[in-house]
Amino acid sequence: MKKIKFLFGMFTVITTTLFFNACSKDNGPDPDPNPTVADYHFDIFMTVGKHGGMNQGDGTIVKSVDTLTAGTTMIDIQNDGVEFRSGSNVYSMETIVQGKYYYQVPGSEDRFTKLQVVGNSINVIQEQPFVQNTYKVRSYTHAWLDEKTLVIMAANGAANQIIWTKLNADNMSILAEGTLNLPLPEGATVFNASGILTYNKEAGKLYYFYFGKNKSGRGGVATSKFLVAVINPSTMAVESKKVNTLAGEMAGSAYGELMQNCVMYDENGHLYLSTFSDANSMEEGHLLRIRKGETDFEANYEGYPGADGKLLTVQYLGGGKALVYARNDASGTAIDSYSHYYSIINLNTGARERLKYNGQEIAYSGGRFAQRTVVIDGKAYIGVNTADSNPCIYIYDIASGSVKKGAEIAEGYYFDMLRVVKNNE
Amino acid sequence: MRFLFIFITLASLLPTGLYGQEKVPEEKEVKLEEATVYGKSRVQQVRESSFAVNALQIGGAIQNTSANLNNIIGRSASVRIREEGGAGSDFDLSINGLSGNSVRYFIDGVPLSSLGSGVSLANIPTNIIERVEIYKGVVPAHLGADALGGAINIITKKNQRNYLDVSYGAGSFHTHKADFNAQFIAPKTRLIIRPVIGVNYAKNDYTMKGVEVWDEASRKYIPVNRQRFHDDYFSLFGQIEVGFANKSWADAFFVSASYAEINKELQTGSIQSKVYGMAERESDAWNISVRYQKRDFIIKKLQLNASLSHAWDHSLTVDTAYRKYDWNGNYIESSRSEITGRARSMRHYKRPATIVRTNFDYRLNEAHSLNVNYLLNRMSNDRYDDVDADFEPSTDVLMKHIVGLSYNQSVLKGRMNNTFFVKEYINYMNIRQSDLSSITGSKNVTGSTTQDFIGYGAGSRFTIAEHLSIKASYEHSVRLPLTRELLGNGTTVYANVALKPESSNNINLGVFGSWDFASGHTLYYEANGFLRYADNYIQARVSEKEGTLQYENIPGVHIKGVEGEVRYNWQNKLQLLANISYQDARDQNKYKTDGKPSATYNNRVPNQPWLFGNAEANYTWHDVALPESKLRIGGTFQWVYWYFLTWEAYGARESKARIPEQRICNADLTYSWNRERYNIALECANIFDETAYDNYKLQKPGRSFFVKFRLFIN
Repeated sequence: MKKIKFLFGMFTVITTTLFFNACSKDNGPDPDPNPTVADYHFDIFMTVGKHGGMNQGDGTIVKSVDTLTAGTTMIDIQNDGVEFRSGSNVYSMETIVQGKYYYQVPGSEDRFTKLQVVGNSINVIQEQPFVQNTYKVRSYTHAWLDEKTLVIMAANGAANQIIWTKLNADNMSILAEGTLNLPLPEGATVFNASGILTYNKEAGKLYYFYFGKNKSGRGGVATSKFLVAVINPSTMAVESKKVNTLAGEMAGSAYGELMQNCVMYDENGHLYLSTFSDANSMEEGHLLRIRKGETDFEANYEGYPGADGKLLTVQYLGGGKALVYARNDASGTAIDSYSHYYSIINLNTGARERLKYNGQEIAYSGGRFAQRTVVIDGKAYIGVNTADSNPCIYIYDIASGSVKKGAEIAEGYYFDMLRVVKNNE
Repeated sequence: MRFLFIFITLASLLPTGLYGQEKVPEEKEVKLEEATVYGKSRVQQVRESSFAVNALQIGGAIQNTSANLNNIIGRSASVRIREEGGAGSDFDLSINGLSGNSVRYFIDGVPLSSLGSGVSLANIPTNIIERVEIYKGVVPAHLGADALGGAINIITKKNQRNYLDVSYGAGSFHTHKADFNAQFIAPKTRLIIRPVIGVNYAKNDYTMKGVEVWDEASRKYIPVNRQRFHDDYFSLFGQIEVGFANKSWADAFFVSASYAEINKELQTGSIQSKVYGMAERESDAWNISVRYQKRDFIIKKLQLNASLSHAWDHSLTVDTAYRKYDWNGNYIESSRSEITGRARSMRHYKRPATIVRTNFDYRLNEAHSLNVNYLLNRMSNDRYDDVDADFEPSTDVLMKHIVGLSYNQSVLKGRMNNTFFVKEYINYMNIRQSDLSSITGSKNVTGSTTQDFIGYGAGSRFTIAEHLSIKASYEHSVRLPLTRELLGNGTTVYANVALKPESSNNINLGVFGSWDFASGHTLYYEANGFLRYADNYIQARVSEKEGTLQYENIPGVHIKGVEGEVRYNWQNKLQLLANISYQDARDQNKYKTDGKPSATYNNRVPNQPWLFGNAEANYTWHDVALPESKLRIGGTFQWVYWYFLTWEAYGARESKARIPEQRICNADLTYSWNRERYNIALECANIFDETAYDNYKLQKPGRSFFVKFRLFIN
């Protein structure tokens, strides 16, 4: 009996931990530590005619569905779904999502907006005009200090300083804003556009990954490998900064994690960052780790050894496993090349296995700028866009490792993004 | 298409010998009491040509008002002009659904760009214009254009007598317009001097309805009405032309110099919630040109039209303010510039352009003629920035040679006119940029390169009966890529030197006629159907390097449509006009960029008006109050059916953004006396103060008034 109780207790702890980590994109707040999928719905971002990323979002349509399991009607946006705009403003699909809401700088580039997609309508919950620092749509990075406090950060227009704003996510009021005391890296004249900001809860610090370039524009070249700055979240003082020695550039340097997840934490509080280096005639992906409480990358750690191309997104699944979306560069590096694939990786050993269904590896997907995976309630919902069939969802059961086929999505659109959003009570 | 060709070719084989030597008779009407001979006006002749063409007479009635060419052309069938705001705002003109770079503009057969990039239909003085020809889809070879969808040719006045034409007007939104236009002929030498000055100024401070401003008390954006506060527009056009006409050595020989300047403050970005308060655009251009015209040049019946012009064109976009404005006119200090959201910039574009046009017209006899046209257009594109140190200056050169050969015939005693033409387009470019060659394709195209393309077409007009004619025309048209499309802009747009020209197969079929059904009553009608099969569309797409664009060729759009126009005239007192246009543009892009089927294929192209019409009524009283006076009252009505901003089939219809229906009424009252020497006009535009949009949420002006005085001494 004691054994059963012990096993039950262990099971509860493990599943709770899994859920806790699964619903967090980074180490941000989780007001709902035991999420069940019934309390959530899925928002599928599809665009017509053009990809929705890169702020081309005029044709972005959001379709909300309660389930992504098989047997549901094919998901389509013909005369259904809502255009991602309201009034005279247009919203970018590169957006922050947390709980029930989306948060972003909209096309007017004069405010912060908190909004909600409800069925086929957009509800603007609260807005806040810029007061001091101003941001561009889709060109910023963010971190949650707690469930109410959101930090936005980006390079300024001249790209020679990093500006930040703290927001109260409840009423969207500006709590504080300023400019980081962060000098340009040696030899650089500009920062990259946004960098990657994350709140390392275990360390109680903000970690900011960035690099400098010798000039702005298309000809600009990074002056060094990327750096990590450690920031006191209360004072926003930069406490340390250091050039990493392991990889050239972090993923998502231009638009933070507004679309793609490139930072994750395990249950031990270790931070993982998706990065790449130009090496071996490709953009060679690396998954780097900063151990709990540390401020620099673990020198000998490589979570994604033997990469065949760029590592695009990472999401922690629990139990030392992660779901990654990567590219086989030899099969094509264009945005739409069918060269992207999902794997489950073991963070402790570096071993990885490409996602399979019925014993067969799922074919390559197209879509470099895509985030079609969410993790909730012990499952990873994985959207694919393979060359020979309709886009669809595969459902990966984290505990058992089994994969089931889920809902199908009608062909003809760009299926760029999948989000899981809490329902209204 | 084949049928059309066969029809026209067979028609051309008709026995011209029987009829070809006869002169085309003038239309005439004989009355018992008196004999009146009606010669066809040049406008009527153009309308009755084998091309699908609108010809608009720009007479005194129009010149007395404040209407600019955009207003006038925008009321004709199949033409839609979409303006982003008030005077001087950016506009997009479409003909039968093709717009932007697909339409080319000419003044007396020479590209309008020869006067500078800032000179447009919106600011060229109407007082110098005799008529405007709007070619739909099929463009005559003598215009030498790489136009995909049509061309607009502005024909200036060529009076033989001295005259002085001066006008000044003022109106709502602090609008002022002044024009001076004259001709002086030296009595002894017959030297002709033609000065032209046109000045426009407007603050454009019209009310924007329902714009958002922040209300701190409620912590919400609330809709309010606010005046535009940063939309001043100034344009100046000056030209002097000196030369001779009707000399033994020249029918016309003129040397001219012109200067154009446009200053425009920018109020909003592409959406009205993006408010600017400091950004502005300026352009200025100098031009010198010489033109020569001679009939019986070297040999009998050979006419030469030649011109040479060079323009020094300079434009500047100023984006140096780190400010973020709102509709209250307030601002906060911003972290970035207004337009680009980046560092400050003062971006200069210098585009010196040389244009040479040579046209030979040889009349074999009264029924047959040959025309050869050569147009050279050489343009440099010199970009630099005064304050953005990271901007890479560059100078690219693009040169187009366009050769057109056309054969025109008039058979069956003039009942049938046929035109056959072929055009050769030669594109020469000198690529000076070599970076990122794998993206731009410049690794395969080094230094200079030349490309060659052929276009061709035919047109026919046949008079079936006195009141009924039909016309058909076809062109395989080509539009060569622009410098920006080919060579990028140095910062956000990559070059793609492998870009192919756009091409289109354009077909028109129409009936028209005029009917003098009673004394003094004339009815003119016209109905046309058209097809446009445009392919290899040049479209911007996001490049591999994020945040940048690159132009590429994609399958285009197929457009089919119909249009109709009816005009009625009663003794030159009452004129009525109504037209309606319907066009159905369907996307032909079968595949997405990932190679899979695209949902947009065969869907109606969004954000394009597809049903619109105009109506116009004018009545003139003679000898009102004063002898030899006229009182004219006129009204126009413009209607555009609503349309979706995005692909209509996707997304819940109730949630989709629309550009709402437009119903705009305008009225004018003009009094002229002393044989139209003195004219005063009162106008009211948008009488019912409709909130009108051509583009999504970019409001056009509400109700406005204008008064104009014109002195015309002839």
